[in-house]
Parts: sequence; C-alpha cells; structure tokens
Amino acid sequence: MTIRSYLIWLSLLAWLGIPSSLMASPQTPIGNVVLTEDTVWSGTITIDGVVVVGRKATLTITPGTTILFKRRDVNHDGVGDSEIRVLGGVIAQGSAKQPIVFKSAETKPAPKDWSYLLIFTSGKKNRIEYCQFHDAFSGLQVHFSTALVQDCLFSHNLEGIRFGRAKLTLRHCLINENHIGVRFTRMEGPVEIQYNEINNNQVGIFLVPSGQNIVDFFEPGRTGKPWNEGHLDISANNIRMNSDYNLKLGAKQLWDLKITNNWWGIVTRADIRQTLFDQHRDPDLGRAIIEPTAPQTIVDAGIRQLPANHHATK
Amino acid sequence: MITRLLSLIFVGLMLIQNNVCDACVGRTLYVGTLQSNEGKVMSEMLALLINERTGTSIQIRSFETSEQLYTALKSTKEEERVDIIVEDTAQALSIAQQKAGTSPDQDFIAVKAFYEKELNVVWLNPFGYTANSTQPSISAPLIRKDVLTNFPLLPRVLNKLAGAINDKAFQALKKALDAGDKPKNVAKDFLKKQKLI
Repeated sequence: MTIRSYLIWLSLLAWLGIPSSLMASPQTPIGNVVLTEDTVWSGTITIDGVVVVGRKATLTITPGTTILFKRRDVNHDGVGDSEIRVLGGVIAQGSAKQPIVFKSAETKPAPKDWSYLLIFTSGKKNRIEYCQFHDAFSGLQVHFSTALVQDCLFSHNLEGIRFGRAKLTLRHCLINENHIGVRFTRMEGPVEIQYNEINNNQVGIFLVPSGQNIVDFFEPGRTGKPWNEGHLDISANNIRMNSDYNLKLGAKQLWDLKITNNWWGIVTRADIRQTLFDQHRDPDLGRAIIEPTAPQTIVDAGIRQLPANHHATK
Repeated sequence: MITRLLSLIFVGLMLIQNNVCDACVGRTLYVGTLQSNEGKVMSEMLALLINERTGTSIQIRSFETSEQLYTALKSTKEEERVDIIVEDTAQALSIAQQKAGTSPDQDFIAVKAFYEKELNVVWLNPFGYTANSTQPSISAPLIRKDVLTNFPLLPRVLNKLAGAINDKAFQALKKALDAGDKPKNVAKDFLKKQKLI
C-alpha cells in the first residue's frame, strides 16, 4: 500500500470517527493511528509513522512533554515520513520552564528526520505555545486553519514554519539555524508575524506563492499597491544575519509587498538591500517595501523568558 | 445503497483533500542524471535553481546507463521515478533511432516532437552550449508532461537558464570540475554570478 493510499484510509477513518485498534501505551511507539477522541499526551511519546487527529478530537499536550519521531522513509524521497496530522484540534501549551519538545528520535538527528506537525482544514482554534521544533522537514505547517503560535523555538529544521491560507498569529518566536526560517505560500490571511527573532537561517523569510496551482487565481497584472496590505502584517521583527538572504520573494511573487518597521541588523539602506531578493535582483519579481525600518533592535522580540539552555542572538 | 454512495463520496472527498494537502505541504521532485561530471553539474544547476526560486524539494538520482535513466523517466513509482533530466540532441537522436539532420536546430525540432509524442516529455529552451559531445549538439532540460501539469511554473523558472550557458561558460564549468571542485559548488557559484539565485 502506498503512503498516499494509506493516508487516505487513515483520513477516512478519522472523518467517519471509526475507532482505531492501533493505540499504544506511551512506552510503545505510536504510528499509523487515528485519534478519534479527545486525547492528552504527557511524558515521552515516540511516533513511528503517521498520527492523525480526527475531526472530532482535540489533542492536548501538557507542559514538559517530549515527542520523538522515528525516521522512516518508505518512498525514498529523502524526508522522514513520521508526522502528526491534525484535522481536529491541537492545544500544545508548554511553559518557559517546561517547553514541549518535538524532535527526532535518532541518535544522530538531522533536518528532515520527520515530516511535520501539520494543522490542516481544522475548524478549531489551535494554540502552539512554548514548543520547540527540531530536525523536521517543516517544524509546523498550518493550512486552511486558525492557529496562535507564540514563544516557540524552531531550530535545525529544513523549514522552521510553513503556512498557506490560514488565520495565523506568529509572535515572540525564535527561528534560527534552519534552511528556511518562515515560508508563506499564499499571501492571504489574516496573518500577523510580529516580535519574532529570525536569525542565522540560510533564508530568513521566504514568500513564495505555490507553484503547483493548475489554475492561477492571482490577478493578471501588478496593481501598483502592495499586495498584502490588510491581510499580511510582518512588522516589529528582528530579521538578521541570515546567510543567503534575510527576505526572499519566490518565483511568481510578482506583486509588491509591504514589510515595514523591522530591524534588519544593519542601518544603511544599500546594505539592507543586499540581504533581500526581490525586484532589485530579478525584474520579474515584486518589490519588498521595507521603509520605514526599525532604527534599532526590537528588544521585545523573541521568546519571552527563553529557556536557559538556548542562546539567542540579541 | 445509500451507505455505499456515502462511502464513495467520503473517499472522493478524502482523495481531493489529500491531493490538495500534497500541494500545500510540499512534494519532492527528482532530477535524473548519468554519472558524468557534466551530468552532475547540470543536474545540480537545475536542482538549485528550482529549489531556490520555488522552495520545492529536489532530490538528484544518478544512473549508470542511459537505459536506466529512461526507465526511471517513465516510472510512476515514487521510489524510482525521475521528473526532470538534461539531454542533448545527439543522444536524443540515438534514443529516437533517427538520423542527424543538416543542423543542430533541425535535430532539436525533430527530437522535441518525438519526445513529446512518444515519451510524454517536453523539451524546454536550450542552455546555449553546443560542445558537450563529439558532434555539435544542443542541450536542454526535459520535463515529464505529468509534472508540467502539476508544476506549471517550472518552465518559467528553468527557462531563466535559456541561452545563459554558452560554450565558453560550459568549458569553464568543466574546468572547475576537472580541478576537483564539487558539482554542487560549481553550479551554485555559476548561478550566483549570473544573479539567478
């Protein structure tokens, strides 16, 4: 059975609310299972495969919980298959002293060891607070859902966080040492990205419309005003020291984007421009409108009461 | 009867949901190459350009023989398929079992038509160099039609390399490889110098 067909049957079970007989004790790895009722996780949970949170269920994860993902790559695409797919709801509220940790179960962990915590077509208000994501393809993905993500650490993933059409607030997070820190694929919202510390990634923020739409729903020409006004607010962040670019517009991002009042780690406009990939590099792309910039470091950015064992660039 | 109908509707909905989900969460594309230095650097070039400009995950799969490469180009199995390759018109004429025409441009038109009709593979615009084999030939990226359907943006991205690598530039790439530089580094340096990434 292919992974896709397996997921289809798991999703079907989740949709219909049919209980699964594959539940395991916390000591035994959980995999290829549908949670059909409200579930609480604590302690250490090991996942080997796909865990689907069914439409009627909410997964609550208590402070101090560690969730380990075993690496398995059945289709040899270079990405570990273990994941949590939330169709119902998820409440993961750690604390500064007791964060919730999502990471690889491998002895030599590496980015892409596991897929992601995916919130997909959830009808509930999801909360992800004081969580840490490591070693994933994407630590967290949110699509067609509502989520509050705050005081989280995304580090050593291929992508820290990716989202598409979503009602999302991302604030007070530390996003560092990923290939891509933040990836946004829809430019629709409302989305607020504020008071985050985004540093030492290869690319800090990557704004790239999906290249997989068969039908292009975007308007055919540039309108002359910023595309994101009123539904995408990226402000009051420290976006700095990302090795390739602090901000990159991907192919098909043809419209200007307003991304003002952020601190880019440097003062002069010409130097800041060197850290951006937009129309100045490729005439096909839109412009990143960054002025006015913040005059200095946003002191309130990043995780509030950061755990003592992690060093943030301040 | 009603139960069966409802089940079918649910399965249909979930199929749609999972396909949509694939598009959102990201799918891996596979670039296929033979194990030559030239093949490696050009496949790295495509992989880097696609990944850097679209964020799509790319994996390069190497093959010992052209037969293995073309088998993968026809495969639908995730674990063995390739979606994109680099090919030149001389090799393509051999695959198509056709004789060379009076010019490389004529060969390009001939193999482009053959590949599209017989192999469901589309030739994009040529890179520009003509000196990759013992007779003059044209090299270009090739994409499966089914991939093109799901990733309509790819030609726009890959065509940024159209005409960007002339014979002199290609010889410089080969020289760097002969000096021991890694294909990925050589490709990345070239793309950065061209301001493509």
